[in-house]
Amino acid sequence: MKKSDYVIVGANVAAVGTIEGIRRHDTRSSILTISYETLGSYSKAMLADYIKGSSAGYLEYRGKDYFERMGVNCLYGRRVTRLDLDKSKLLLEGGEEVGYKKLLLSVGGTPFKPAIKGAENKELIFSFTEFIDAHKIREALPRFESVVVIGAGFTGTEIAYTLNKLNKKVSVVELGDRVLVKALDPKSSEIAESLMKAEGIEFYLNDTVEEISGNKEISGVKLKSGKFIPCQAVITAIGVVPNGQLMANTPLNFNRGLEVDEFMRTNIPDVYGAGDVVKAIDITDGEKRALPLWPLAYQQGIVAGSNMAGAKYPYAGGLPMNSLKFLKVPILSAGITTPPDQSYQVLRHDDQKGSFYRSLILKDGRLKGFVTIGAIDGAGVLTGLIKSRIDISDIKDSLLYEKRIGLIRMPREWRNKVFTRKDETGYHD
Amino acid sequence: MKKVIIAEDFCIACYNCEVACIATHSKSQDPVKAYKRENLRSRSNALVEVKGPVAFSLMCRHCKHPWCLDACISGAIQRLDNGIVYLDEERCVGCWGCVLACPYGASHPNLKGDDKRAFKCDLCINRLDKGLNPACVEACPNKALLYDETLTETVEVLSR
Repeated sequence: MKKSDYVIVGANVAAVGTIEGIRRHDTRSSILTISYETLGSYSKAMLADYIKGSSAGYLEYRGKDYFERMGVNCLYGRRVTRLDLDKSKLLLEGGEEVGYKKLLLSVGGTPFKPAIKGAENKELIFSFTEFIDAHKIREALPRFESVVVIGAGFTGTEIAYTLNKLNKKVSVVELGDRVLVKALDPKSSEIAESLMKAEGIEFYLNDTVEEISGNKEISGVKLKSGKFIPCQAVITAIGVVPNGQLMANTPLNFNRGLEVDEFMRTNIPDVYGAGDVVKAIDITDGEKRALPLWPLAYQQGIVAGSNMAGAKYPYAGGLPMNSLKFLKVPILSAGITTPPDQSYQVLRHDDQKGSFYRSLILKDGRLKGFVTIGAIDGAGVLTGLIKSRIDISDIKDSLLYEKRIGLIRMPREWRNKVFTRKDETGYHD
Repeated sequence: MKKVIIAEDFCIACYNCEVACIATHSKSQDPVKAYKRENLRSRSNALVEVKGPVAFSLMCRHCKHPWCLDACISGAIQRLDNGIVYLDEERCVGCWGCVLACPYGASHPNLKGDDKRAFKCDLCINRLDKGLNPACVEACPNKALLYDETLTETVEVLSR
């Protein structure tokens, strides 16, 4: 039986964070990563670039030799089929066994696939979450001229925009009444939608795909409203849910996400979790939930890895953050963008031209979330203010109206700590 | 590690730091050419902020654990062995994750034209290699910017 001190299931950003966390404290012990994917650690956030024609190597954001440099062994293209937590080992496809001292589960999320009539046996139906999906879409590009994207969230709008740029006729069908409902407030959804409409993307809101028509080749989709959209391909982008396959029939607590404590430990000794698979603290309300976001996966990895290697760092919690990088006018948001109840105060600035819009969500004088369109320099200051929970009542107007957000409005004492004191950022060692 | 310490009480908002930053990161190494021919006017990594009598120049704090690095999806941002948080503009894909993550607003988006990349202070890594101080520090006429070990007490800076 193969053995390794640390075994990591998954090789993406949470795994990279974990490796970096472990290596901060332990440069000697053996680390093994196992992934069913064949490409090593690549940037899932850059898959649209691959569809547009970049090389696969371009996505390897830590460089080709990363795992070697970090002293990590890899098993790629190998699927873990079962966890034997009592005996501290994993079973791989083909029957091979791997023993561990500490295990990290960073198995990510799986795309939520709705059951749609007629979806069976059709060729050009895709998801868009991992490299193989992007590769399939890229290979199929010459085979379709028009495409329907189901879901107008981040992934859906990004793939829609990408394919539109590749001269495909793109229609987006969304069950909700607006685009990017999780990331934006109603007004900014409207702005984002009009930016995409201006590029020629069509939207069907408050609607859903009931049937995919055609034989092996798709001829179009029938909507609940009765409309018919002719198309040759369909991409589902409704969202991802934590991947619980491996946790089934184990004593691991998994309930719409792997349960972990503040040190990213599961309920089983020596087993940790990080990334899209876990439910971790959301700073905005202190609740635990799955937030499948790049920076959080990496930070959770750093925390998990450090703790696996004997440190004791708590995870400070994560904040929902979104950057709609593909649009012509940049749109950034963080925290709560649509207030859940009346106890929140909403401040809005809109230049009516779609070139500068900002909304701030406050509760008890504290910033809870924001959206900023057009003017984004210094947006991180707002992100920092959400995390620091300081009272911004006196400076809220300048935060709303000033295009570039600076530190000059901050309390002097706060600023001088930043300017001079010893570094106390993040997960320092 | 040594970083640029900001002593805001000494800043006279002369903007020499911005000019020096732009010049040293230009091809020509000349401030006038950098502004006029290379179109780098808005590309200073150090930015002066002014409000009434208060002023200071702010640039990357080179955090030990940088928020910007957590958010970087392309690997453009790295923490070098010497502690410098370095943004390789060649590898930047303009996702603005760092802009959204930096609590000091020290990573800036270049929104002009099609060259959408972020930029930030590199602590004048090329000058440090030659034994020189960062350009902004060198250009500051009133020691409002100092290149020194980070200090725990503000007082220590202000009493210099």
